[in-house]
Amino acid sequence: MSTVLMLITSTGVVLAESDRAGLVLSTSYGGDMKECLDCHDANQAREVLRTPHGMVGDARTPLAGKGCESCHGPAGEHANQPRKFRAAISFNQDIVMGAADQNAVCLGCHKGGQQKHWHLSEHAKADIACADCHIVHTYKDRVRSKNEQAQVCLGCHQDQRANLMKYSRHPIREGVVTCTSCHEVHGGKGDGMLVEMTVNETCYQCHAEKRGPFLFEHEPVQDDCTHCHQPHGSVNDNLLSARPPFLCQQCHIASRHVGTNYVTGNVVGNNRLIGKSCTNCHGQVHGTNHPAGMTFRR
Amino acid sequence: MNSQRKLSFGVTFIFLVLSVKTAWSQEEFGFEGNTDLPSSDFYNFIEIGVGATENANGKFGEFTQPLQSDGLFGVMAVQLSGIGNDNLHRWFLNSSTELHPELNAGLSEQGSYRMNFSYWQSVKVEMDNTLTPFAGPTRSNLQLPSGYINPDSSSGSNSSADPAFYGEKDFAVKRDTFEFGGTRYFGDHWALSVDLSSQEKEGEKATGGGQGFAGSTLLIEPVDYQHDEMTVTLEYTDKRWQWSLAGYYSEFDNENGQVSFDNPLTDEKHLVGLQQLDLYPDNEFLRISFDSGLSINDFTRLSFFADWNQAKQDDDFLPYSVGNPDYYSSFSGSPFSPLPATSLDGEVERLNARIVLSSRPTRRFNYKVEFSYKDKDSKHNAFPADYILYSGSVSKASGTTHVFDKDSELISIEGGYRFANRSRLRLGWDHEVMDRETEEVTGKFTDETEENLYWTEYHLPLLGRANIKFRVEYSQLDTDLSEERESHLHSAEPEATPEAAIPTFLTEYDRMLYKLRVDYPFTETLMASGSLDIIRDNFDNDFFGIDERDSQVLSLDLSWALSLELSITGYVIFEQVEWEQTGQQSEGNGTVVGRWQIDSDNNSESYGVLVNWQAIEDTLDLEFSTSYLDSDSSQSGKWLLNEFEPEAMPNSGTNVHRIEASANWHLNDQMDIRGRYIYERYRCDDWAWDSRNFSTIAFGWEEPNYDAHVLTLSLHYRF
Repeated sequence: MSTVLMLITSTGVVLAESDRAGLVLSTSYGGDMKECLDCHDANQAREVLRTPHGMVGDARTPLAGKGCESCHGPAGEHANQPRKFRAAISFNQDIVMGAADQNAVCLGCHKGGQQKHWHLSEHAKADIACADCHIVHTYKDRVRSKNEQAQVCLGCHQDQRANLMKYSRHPIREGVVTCTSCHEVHGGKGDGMLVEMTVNETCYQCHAEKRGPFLFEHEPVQDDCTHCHQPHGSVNDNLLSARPPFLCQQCHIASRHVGTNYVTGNVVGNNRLIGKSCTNCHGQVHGTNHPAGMTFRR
Repeated sequence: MNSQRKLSFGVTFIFLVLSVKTAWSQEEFGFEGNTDLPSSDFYNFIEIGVGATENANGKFGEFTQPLQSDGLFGVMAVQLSGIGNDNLHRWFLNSSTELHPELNAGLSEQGSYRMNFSYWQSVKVEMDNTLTPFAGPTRSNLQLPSGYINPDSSSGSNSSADPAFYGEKDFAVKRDTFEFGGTRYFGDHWALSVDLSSQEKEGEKATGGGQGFAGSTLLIEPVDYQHDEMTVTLEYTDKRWQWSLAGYYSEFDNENGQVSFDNPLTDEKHLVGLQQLDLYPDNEFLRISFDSGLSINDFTRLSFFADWNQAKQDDDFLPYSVGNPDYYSSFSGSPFSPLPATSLDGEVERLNARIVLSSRPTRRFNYKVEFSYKDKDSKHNAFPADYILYSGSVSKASGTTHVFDKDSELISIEGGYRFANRSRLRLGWDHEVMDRETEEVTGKFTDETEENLYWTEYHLPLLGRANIKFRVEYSQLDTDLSEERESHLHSAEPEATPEAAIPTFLTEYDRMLYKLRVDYPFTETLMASGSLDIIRDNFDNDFFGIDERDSQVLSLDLSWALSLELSITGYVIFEQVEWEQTGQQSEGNGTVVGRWQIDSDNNSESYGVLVNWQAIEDTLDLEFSTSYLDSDSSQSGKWLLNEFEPEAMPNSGTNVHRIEASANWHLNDQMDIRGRYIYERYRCDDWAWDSRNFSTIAFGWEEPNYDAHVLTLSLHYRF
């Protein structure tokens, strides 16, 4: 058989019968890729020449090998009768070839780096194809652009769209923080496809001041930032999952001011409600080195 | 001209010069001269123009720097790139000031090496137009203005704060990030990478002064951080086995170890000039990590992750700013126990490991088995520490610091089966046990949790036209709390005085999660999709604290390509999170005032429409988008024992409406004229900041409501 099956089996992925039924395998065309570009002359097809895939000076790149057929498979019949036959492999969302089999083509070369744990990712399990997010023919792939990546991710993660406009949020709309700043979308080391093993380690990439260790530590802070914060966006200040003092009262109910029912209190004149609420006093909730900082007030 | 505009114009000038040079040298880099390949289109461009804003100071997102000044500003973007004659070398350089100043550059030789450099700057405006008695240059010693009259001392009440003593201050933090990375490839299998990063963060934040009760105030916290990171990675890749070994080092430095201040709300003699707020200490972090993937055969793969890391912090403690025996002897004469060390000399080690076996033994069946282990182990011990009040007296003698460690073990098993109709069923079970150890001076105690998660997911890609995915999860957390922990907790009985509610992460619960996603193409050009996520948390809580938490998110999208020239997409998202918590209000002497229940809601609704229209073929592209978000949080509470009527806090929320319109006129193959207009309306209603509370927290900030506009016009030239 042809390059297609060689590529597929080499990565340990086998075509499902249902996928194979619709696949039109053909003989290799083997001609110059300029012939392909005679028809596929849209900018998108030509732009591949500006990408690493098109660096024909390196014999390992797709275009230096079998040209377009390196990725798209044998296209002999397609070249002769383009309206009747198509190339063996197309990288679109709605073709008969499944995502795993499409991805096998990409993973045939992209084995290392971020892709080496692709098969563990939720994206792989959800039958997401590489081409669902990446446009390999373009010089500037949107998903690799800091300013445009979020729009690609939001295509599926629709519910996150509202978070980007909330009262408190990360600067994702502005391209300062991207989805991949925190998430390893090709298969991460830890929970939630994060780039680090734990939530806190991921947060410390930018918020290193909160790493500590501190003389006085706050247990939930050391445990997991998401006990109090919603990193995707919140209607409350500072990405808090609930509004203080009520957030704090989910764990702290002592006598006097800690356990007070503030809903019935005087808002305007109460320094436990206005401004930063509990952190008007307990401002060092992430930890403090102050020798008298037992209650995170100094 | 402010520094932002100077930078914008400066960078524009530099790249104008560079672009001329680059255009001239295209042939040198050989792209145009490469006769083996078809000729290419234009990939380099420069865009230059001008913009005008009205009322845009700090608007359009608090991070969007160029639009933070009213009036005219420069628009600049440039992209330069080239490919060598050998079709091995590539380089690029791009820069923009559209959203924030940034510069990126790279050089690579395919299969041999690559180098990248990036710089960007962002500014977060936390609060603008804020009034504070500490307005002025940033200092680590905040002093009150001359003649400042303390509201408490002037009239015996907190009602006489004089705004004349309050100056205006913007609280903003600027972050500059530099990154440099390089990879050298050795043959087909080996690669060595070095990545360096440096983040500088400067500015001011508002932070709590911690004086407590009537002496609580908000201060200016100076921010001057530097965070440097270095990662060295050795990677091996072959057909069957891939692994990488990485070392990561991080160093965080804070220029300001403390801020001291006079209290604007109380003039008690013993407080003046002495109270200090400790700021984040410097820290170091080192990590060695290894991860690997091994293809055992064509359908089975073994993955392994492990890292060991160490966090250290040894900043000196501040001198006691309260409780100083010499200073306070005349006030309290209380027994006083200084810490038996001058620094924490803290050190925390963590070990994380994860091993996963995944396989697809048949065309239809796949499975995964995973075991992971995480361990946090503090090498420093707990210190004896008294709880010392600002008055200098010891409120809680023989106290202790706490050191928190934990370890967890997770077993995860999942399997998937693909049916003949291409539908797919997945099932999984996760079992995690976690031990949380708390060390005090008097000893250690351990709280244990055990969580089981069962889930199933069914994906039906072709039900008629619909593509449906449904997921259900059930999880349950059981705890085995230590006697020490339980002795601090207060059961939900009305008579006793509660000391603490139970931490949410130690609260037993069961959770149901439902996720439904449907994609439905009505026609080839009209596609609808929707998702519904529902989570029900039921806390089996014998103590005060959280009882229930529910959330639901509904999202609907519609995409319609009316023609090749015109497409419309729209979305609607409704989100609701609500939870219930209980507590008990008590007097200091233990007298119970009453038990209460508070219900909270976080809600948001958002809508958006995007229209793309090629109004004149190959000549004029128009884009219009509008988005709207209405979000609020609300609380209501009631007394449980006395059957009082529920009372509600005023709602708080934000309302954002944004309109963007852009036009792109193609003058010719190389040149476009671009125009862009943005309007944003922002309304915030927050009772916490409703009034300028000079007499209560000596701080004034009004919600930043605004109607802001920006218009830009630029020339985009490709070459």
